[in-house]
Amino acid sequence: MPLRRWLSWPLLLLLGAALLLAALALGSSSVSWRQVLDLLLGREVPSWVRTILIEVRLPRALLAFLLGAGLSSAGAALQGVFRNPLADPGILGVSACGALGAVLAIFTGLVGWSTAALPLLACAFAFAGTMVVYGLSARAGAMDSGDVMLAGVGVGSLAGAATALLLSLSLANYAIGAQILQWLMGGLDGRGWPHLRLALPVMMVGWLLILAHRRDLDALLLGDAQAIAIGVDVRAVRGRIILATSLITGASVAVAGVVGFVGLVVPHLVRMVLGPSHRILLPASTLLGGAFLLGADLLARRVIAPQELQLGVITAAVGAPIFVHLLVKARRGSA
Amino acid sequence: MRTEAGIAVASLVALALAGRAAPSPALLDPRRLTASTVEEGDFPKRMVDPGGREVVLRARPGRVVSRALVADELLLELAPPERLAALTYLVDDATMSLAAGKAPPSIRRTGGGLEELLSLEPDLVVVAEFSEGSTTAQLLSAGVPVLRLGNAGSFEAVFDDLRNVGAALGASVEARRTIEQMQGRIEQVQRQVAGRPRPRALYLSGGQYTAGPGTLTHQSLTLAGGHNAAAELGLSGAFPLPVEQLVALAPEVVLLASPEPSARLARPSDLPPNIPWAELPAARHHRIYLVPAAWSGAISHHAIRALEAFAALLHAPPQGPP
Repeated sequence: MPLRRWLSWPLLLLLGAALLLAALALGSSSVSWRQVLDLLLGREVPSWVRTILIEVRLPRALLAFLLGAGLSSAGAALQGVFRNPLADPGILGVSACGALGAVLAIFTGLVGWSTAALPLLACAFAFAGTMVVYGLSARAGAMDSGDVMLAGVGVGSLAGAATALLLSLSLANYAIGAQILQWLMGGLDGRGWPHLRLALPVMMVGWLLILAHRRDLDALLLGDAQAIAIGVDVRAVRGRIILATSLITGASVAVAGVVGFVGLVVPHLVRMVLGPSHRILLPASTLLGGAFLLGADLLARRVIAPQELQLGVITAAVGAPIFVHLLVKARRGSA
Repeated sequence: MRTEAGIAVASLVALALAGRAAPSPALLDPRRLTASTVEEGDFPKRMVDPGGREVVLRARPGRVVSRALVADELLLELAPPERLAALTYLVDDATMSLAAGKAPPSIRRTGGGLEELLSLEPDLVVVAEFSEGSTTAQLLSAGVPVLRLGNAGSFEAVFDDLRNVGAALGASVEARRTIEQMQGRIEQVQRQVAGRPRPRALYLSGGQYTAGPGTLTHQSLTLAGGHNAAAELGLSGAFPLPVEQLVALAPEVVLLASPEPSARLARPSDLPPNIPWAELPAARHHRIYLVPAAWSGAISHHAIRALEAFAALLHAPPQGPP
């Protein structure tokens, strides 16, 4: 394990760097690899190439990495809190709640009053959604996979219905209806530096909060009684992790809509290779999650170029089979 | 407890930082984008862009790019082809565009993606009111001059678009000439229909959508000597019309948007199957017509074609079954 662990870090960093370079070089316009290298080396490039690379591709690639890293960490942390490998912001309905908050901010025009309204409402709704799912699934004491899933489906459906209501009310104004639809489909098309600056501080607070509790999350894996016995304030840790994942999910939804399955797929893959300890799982999920969403966005941009696929389509195509695999495995385990 | 308070403060500070980070609310709320206005006169001249900022157009733009069919039609009317760097791919689709066949193949066709637009190095991009707001905002962030057309809900708004595009291109004389021609044709239609009875008319697009007040279609139906039955529902803009309400409105004339190149009496096989047509006075009197969508959907100077067609069809003599 140690050798594999030590090899993983440079490999993950190399993967992220290679995908970042590819994200800069590949796009719908004809910017060559040579021009990318020229720009990176500080040489002269045509102004339109500089604009495309610096104003369009770079912020989009960094945003993809940030969201992937954040959502993967949030997924890993939620799986620890719920002691359930199926927990993910999308599956638990947290993303749907965040999307409802974001849509409400657009629909009511609060974003025009203050841009902070968008992440604020998205995070608040994501937090409320997670608390409801947690409350519903923890009522019986031990958290059963089925209970968690059902609570997530219920909360997600309710948030989805409320979002659909707002969408139908907003269709009278084409611009608002189109904006809301774009949010719901999830994607990074048209995202730039302002979106990155919007998401970064909120996601950083969430990520640092999760990372600060990596040992507590390991303790929670042993069960509540064991965790309390070694001095973990289980209730406080759960509350903080739920707040942290809400901040990450809310900020992510606020800038890119609902991008599902990232928080499910990445921690699962990392756990398979590097084991369940959150001290390794969280930083590795951060790096792999960033690389995963960067790669997914690259595919979304290239598969039917010059048109773009929705990012959520790519992540679902990878995530849904893994979700089914985990579900079947969980059923076999409980049988 | 102290830890919780610290976390709450850190979260709120992060949210406040996020709020201060996005400099352009237009990126997040397309309602913040406005129609552009361009001053008349010689270059250099001032233009108020969709973000509300004043930019200076130093000389006649020579690499103009369109992001909407309505912009294609206006640009082809007002600018020589050599000054157009790109039009939308819709311009060649005769079922939608009245400029089909008029744009030389030497002008590039575009899907309107941000990278593609930037790579064309435009000195002016013309976007419609309904063009994707985030792309418009990113073009503005990249320093590209953007002219955003207004909400073409009336002929007066089309005239404003013509004036602004004409001023931006240095083609104000051509724009004025086009406006005068349109005004002349509108007056001619009004003379033709003066004193005639106003039939209850209903416009349907896609078998479901109709047009209320605040649309060019509504104004055209009214100017063409009809009474837009959809206006009785108290809704404005384009909206889906439930079948029940369609029957209750009892239109005497129905105008269906069609991909065909000319207007004609509709045959039973042309009619959407989900509507009980036999209940409508329009069907009983054989007054359901197909109107080319390229005419009725036009929000440029070509909208005059729909007005003239509506006037002819609303007052056409009764015919037998098609």
